Amino acid sequence: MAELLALLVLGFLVIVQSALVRQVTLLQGSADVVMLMVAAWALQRSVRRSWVWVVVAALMVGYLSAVPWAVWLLGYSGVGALAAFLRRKGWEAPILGLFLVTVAGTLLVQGLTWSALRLVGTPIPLWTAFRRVMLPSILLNLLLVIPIYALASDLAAWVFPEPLEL
Amino acid sequence: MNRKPPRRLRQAVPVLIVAGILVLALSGYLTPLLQTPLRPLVGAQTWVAERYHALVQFFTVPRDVAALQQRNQQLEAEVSRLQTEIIELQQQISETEILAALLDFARANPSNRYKAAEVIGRDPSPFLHYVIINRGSADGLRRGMPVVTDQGLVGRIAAVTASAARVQLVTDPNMRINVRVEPAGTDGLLAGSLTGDLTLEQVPLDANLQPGDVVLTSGLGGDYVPNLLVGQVTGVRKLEFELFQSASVQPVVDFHRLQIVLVITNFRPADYAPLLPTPLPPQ
Repeated sequence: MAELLALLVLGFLVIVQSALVRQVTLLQGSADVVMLMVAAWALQRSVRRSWVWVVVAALMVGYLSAVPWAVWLLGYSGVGALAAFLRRKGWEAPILGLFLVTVAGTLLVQGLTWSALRLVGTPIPLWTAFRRVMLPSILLNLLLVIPIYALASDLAAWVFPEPLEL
Repeated sequence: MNRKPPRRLRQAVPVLIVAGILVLALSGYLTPLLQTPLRPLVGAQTWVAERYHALVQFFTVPRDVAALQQRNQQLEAEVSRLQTEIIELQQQISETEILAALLDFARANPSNRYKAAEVIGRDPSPFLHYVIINRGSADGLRRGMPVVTDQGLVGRIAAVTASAARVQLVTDPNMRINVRVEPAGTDGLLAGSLTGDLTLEQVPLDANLQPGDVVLTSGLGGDYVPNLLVGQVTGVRKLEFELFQSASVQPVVDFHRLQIVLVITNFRPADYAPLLPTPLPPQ
C-alpha cells in the first residue's frame, strides 16, 4: 500500500516540481518538494521501508532531469538516511528534525549536483552556486516544510492507522 | 310680463359656464382654488396606499427573499462561469497570438520544416536550464534538432522519448554555440551560464564589436541552422593584453515566458564521430 502510494504521491509531486515549483525562483534557486516529501515521510514514526520512497523519487526525478540519476539517488538516499537517523533518535518534535534535514539535504543534493556537473565539465564557480542557488533553495525549501510535513503526517496516519487502545 | 329667455339661450348658458370653467382651469386660474380641497384628499389617499403597500410587502417579502437568494445564487454561478470563460478566452487569445507569430516566422523561413510543441515543464534541478516539451520521437523529433520561437533561437533537443523531449536552452551553463556578430562580421563562441547570462567569447581583438550588434548562429560545426537570431550585444570587454575580446549578450527570447516553441525537424546536427582519429593499436 505504502509503495503504491509512493508511486502516486511522488509522481504527482514530480509533475508539480517540474511544472510549477521550478517556475518560482529566488535568484537561481528553487524548492525541491520531492526531497521534502522523502524527508518528511522518513521522519514519520509509523513508516517502515522509507527507502522505497527514496528509490522511487530518485528514479522519477532522474528520468526527468538532465542531471545524472545517480546524483538524485545518492542525494535522496542521504536525505532519507538522515531523516531515519533522527527518527530513531526519538526526537519529540519531528518537524524540527525536518527543518534540520531540509537544510542539510538541500546542501547535500545540490552539492552533489554541482560536483557531478563539474566532473562532466560544466564550469560553475562554487561560490556563485552557493550564493545564487543553494542558499535561496534552502530558504524556499524551509518555507514549504510545514505544509509538506502536514501532508506526509496525514498520509502516514491514513496508511498506517494507530491501533485503538481499549 | 314675466318673459322667459328663449329656450336655446337657456341651453347655451350651462355650456358656456362649463366652457368658462374649463378655460379658467386650463389657464391655471382655478389651481389655488382646487388645491385647497384636494390636498387632504391626496394626503388621505397617499396614507392609505402606503399602508396597503406595507401590508403587501409584509406578506410577500419573505417569499421574495427566498426567490432572490435563489436568483442570486444562479447569477453568482453565471458570473463564475462567465469569468472562467473569459479566462479561457484570454488564454486562447494569448495562444493564438503566439501561434500567429510562430506561423509568420515559419512562413518567413520556408526552407525549414517545423513541429510546434508546448513547454510543459522544466528540469527539476536549478543548476540546469532545460525545458520539457510535449512532442517526442513519435512526432519525428530527434536529438540535436534546433528549437526556436518567432523571436529567435531557444536551444536544441538534448534527449527525446516517444511523447516528450528535453530541450537544452541557450542559457544553460553547458551550452556553447558558434555564432556570427553582425554588422561586425566576426565569428565567436556564445556560452551560457548559471545565472542565465550569455557571454560572447573567442572574438578576435581586431573585430569592432559594438553594443546593439546582433548575434546569429553561424552554422559552423553543423550544430545549428545558420542565421538564427540569438541575442544582442549589450557590453564589450576588450583588454589589450588578452588574446580575445568578450561581450555580454542579451538573449532575444524571454525564457521565463516560454509557452510554445517550434522544432526544426528537417535539420540534423553533423556527426563528427567517423572523422575523429582513432588510436592505433599497439604494435
